[in-house]
Amino acid sequence: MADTFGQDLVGLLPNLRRYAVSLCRSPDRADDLVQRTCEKALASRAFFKPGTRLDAWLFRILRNTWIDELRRERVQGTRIDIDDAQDLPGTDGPSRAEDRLALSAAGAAIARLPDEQREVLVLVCVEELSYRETADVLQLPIGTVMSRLARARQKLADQLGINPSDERSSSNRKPR
Amino acid sequence: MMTDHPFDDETLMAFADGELDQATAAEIARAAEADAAVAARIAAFRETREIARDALQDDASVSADLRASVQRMVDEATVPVTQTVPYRKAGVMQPRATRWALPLAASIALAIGGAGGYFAGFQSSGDGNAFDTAGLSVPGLSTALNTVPAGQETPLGEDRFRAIATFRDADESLCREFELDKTDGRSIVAVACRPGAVWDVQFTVVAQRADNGYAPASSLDVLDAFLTARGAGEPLPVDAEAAALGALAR
Repeated sequence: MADTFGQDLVGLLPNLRRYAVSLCRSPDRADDLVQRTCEKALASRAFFKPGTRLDAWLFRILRNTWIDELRRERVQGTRIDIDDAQDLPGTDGPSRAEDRLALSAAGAAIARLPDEQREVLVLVCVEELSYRETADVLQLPIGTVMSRLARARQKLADQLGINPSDERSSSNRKPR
Repeated sequence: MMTDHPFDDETLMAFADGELDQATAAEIARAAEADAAVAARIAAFRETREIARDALQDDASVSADLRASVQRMVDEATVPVTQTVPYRKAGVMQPRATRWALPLAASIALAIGGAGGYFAGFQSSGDGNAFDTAGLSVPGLSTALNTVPAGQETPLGEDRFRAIATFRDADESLCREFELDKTDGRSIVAVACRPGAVWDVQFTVVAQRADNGYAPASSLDVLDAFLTARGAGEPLPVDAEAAALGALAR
């Protein structure tokens, strides 16, 4: 049996990195995260079911790794150097995320989204996972995925001035 | 009906994303033809998808360093591995103390407080039925603990029992780390020790096993913290384990 697992893994590095950046919002940390994800993936490759999407499986590992890291940092908070602290996610909210993500208006708008909405947006719209696959990666009900995704895109559309004639959003606005 | 269309945002989004069944999709296509507002909303969802995709392209750039480093890992990993217990072979427990230096209490709080869908429990000794926790009340568990060598599996009722490692704790009690795959998709990682004549489950982490069988790594980190605090020794080699288990039978 030809073993393409390793090459498939390398081939998905761009996708892994993109997802990692969207989670930790720092290029350096994203690289570390991708690296650790690959280590874990290689160690637990026996769990990968051939015929299923490798990218979705890897995203799941990456996300679990990231969550573990955040927990660890939370408990070890006092040990983190000041120098590293500026890389900490979630400490100063969207403004830093804006700096770090793409400079375009769209990138900035995506960066302003709440983490849980951005994550769903990235998995579905950028990585092209199905709703079901996304729900599996995030371990969420599919309905939650859909509502977060719809909200994320609505916000994006609002901020980028798409769909200004949407009767729904205009009817929600207060009359001048 | 046409101006007051019945489709909510999520349905229209699902249409734009090609996630709807044919019948619903056809219905929405008709509605979009008849109602420009519906069409505009669908178009907006398509557009946000494209915008997101384009905006994040740069994040997908992989540095030569990262690529080389992963390629190296892949090359090293292609050496054939015998698969017994995929993510945690007996003997892989060694660098515990260095790998995870958190105080035990912090780790427990972290496991219980975590939102990740697993929970850690510690069974106090002296309970009537030490196994009656977290899905461990399985007939035959004691026997499996007494007999199944590390790295091997056995069916236990409808569950699967897998012995991971055998070691002695700081008090020289015989301990076994094992996993129990439940039929409902949960996987229990546990440690049982035998300070006296019966097995006493001292640690359990219940992890929701994914379809892909990947148990959250964090549960194993918590286990490592527990083993460290417990003063667990290195896993016994095969012959020492056999001798220790053999002694139980007498």
